[in-house]
Amino acid sequence: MTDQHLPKEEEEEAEEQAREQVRRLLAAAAEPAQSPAPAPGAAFTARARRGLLRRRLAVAAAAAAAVAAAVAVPTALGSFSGDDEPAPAASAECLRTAVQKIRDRQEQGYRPVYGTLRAGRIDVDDGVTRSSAFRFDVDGALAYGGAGVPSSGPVTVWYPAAEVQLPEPGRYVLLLDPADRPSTEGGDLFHFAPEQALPLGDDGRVVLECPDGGKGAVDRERLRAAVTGP
Amino acid sequence: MSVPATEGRKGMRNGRDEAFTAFMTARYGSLLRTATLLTGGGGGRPRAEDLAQEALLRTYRAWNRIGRLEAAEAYTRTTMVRLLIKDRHRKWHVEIPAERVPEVLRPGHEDRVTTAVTVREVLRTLPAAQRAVLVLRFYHQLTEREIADVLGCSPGTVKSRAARALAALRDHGFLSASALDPERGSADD
Repeated sequence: MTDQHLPKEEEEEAEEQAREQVRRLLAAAAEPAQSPAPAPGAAFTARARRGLLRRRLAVAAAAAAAVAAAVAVPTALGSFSGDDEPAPAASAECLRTAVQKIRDRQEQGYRPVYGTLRAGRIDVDDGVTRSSAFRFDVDGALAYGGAGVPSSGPVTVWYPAAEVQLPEPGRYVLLLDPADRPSTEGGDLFHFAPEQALPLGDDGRVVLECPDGGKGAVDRERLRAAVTGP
Repeated sequence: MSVPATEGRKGMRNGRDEAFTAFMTARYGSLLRTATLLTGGGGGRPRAEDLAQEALLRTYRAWNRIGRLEAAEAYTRTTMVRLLIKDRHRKWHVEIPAERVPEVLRPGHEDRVTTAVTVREVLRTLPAAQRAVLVLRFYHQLTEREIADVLGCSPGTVKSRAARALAALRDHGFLSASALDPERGSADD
């Protein structure tokens, strides 16, 4: 009786050994080649919290608009504000650095435009890749370049490689570059430079990332003049 | 004395932030290892970190719904898998052109680092869904039913994807010709 079961037991044991072998292979492959990465800390949590609050604010604002309850918006703003302070005026060095970064991207075919990034994810398929995009309503361009990038009207922009690089809905200066192929529905698609999504305030000032890690604000027309100037 | 609403909200927020930060501190290494396997290590650590951190941002949003700390890692892992499968445009991994597919493992090729590199290369040759099944089934030891729930497919699909992924490992000499071969019997629960 025992002998009749032996092959089955051996088979199960061999299978278990093979499973363990695969597990060990994967465990080895999972180990980082470099030193272990430090875990994100409180700063990452703060960023996650700000993202969550912005999402809630966007939802609250959209709902308020939908019911035309304009009075509700300042209340929500009061509840959720506090993380962002107005940026000081950009120094000459900060402006010069920002302009250089924009020009670097222009040389790669990007065009600096400004407008409004709309909330909501759009399913996009260009025949090769299916993914997501966002809508950006272009109000104007800061400079020429980026053949095929319109200076006004809505455009569809692929999501960045990592969603952490996706700006929250709002007004921005973005650098856009036409994608290689249109969507299967025939619409033009664009890429943007995620490191150059510059917030644009209602006062017409653009917030720049300065070399010292701080932020500086500059009037949009002054930025335009600096980008197009010598 | 009643607590003002704003202070109560801040207290809840701080509690959530502290718990979330503690969760990341404790489990980030484990999550990053899973992300490394899911991306096949393509693009080095930054891609795996992108995937892990994107999943963590979503975990934070859902923190109050997750409830238990033990469930948070499973939630983040599931989110990583779904991001990997559904958002193909994001370059979480790098495909290896056919001419760069690694050579068959030679006898005596025992160095752990070399093995790790070669296994990651094999992983990158697999479609994302097969890679995810392999990782969840054999690294995290989930059942076919659990994996089917994560991926939103049938257990039969999980089984066939696992079989194809194991075949790739066999083809590259990591497993014997008959090991876990469904042609010889069930390899699963």
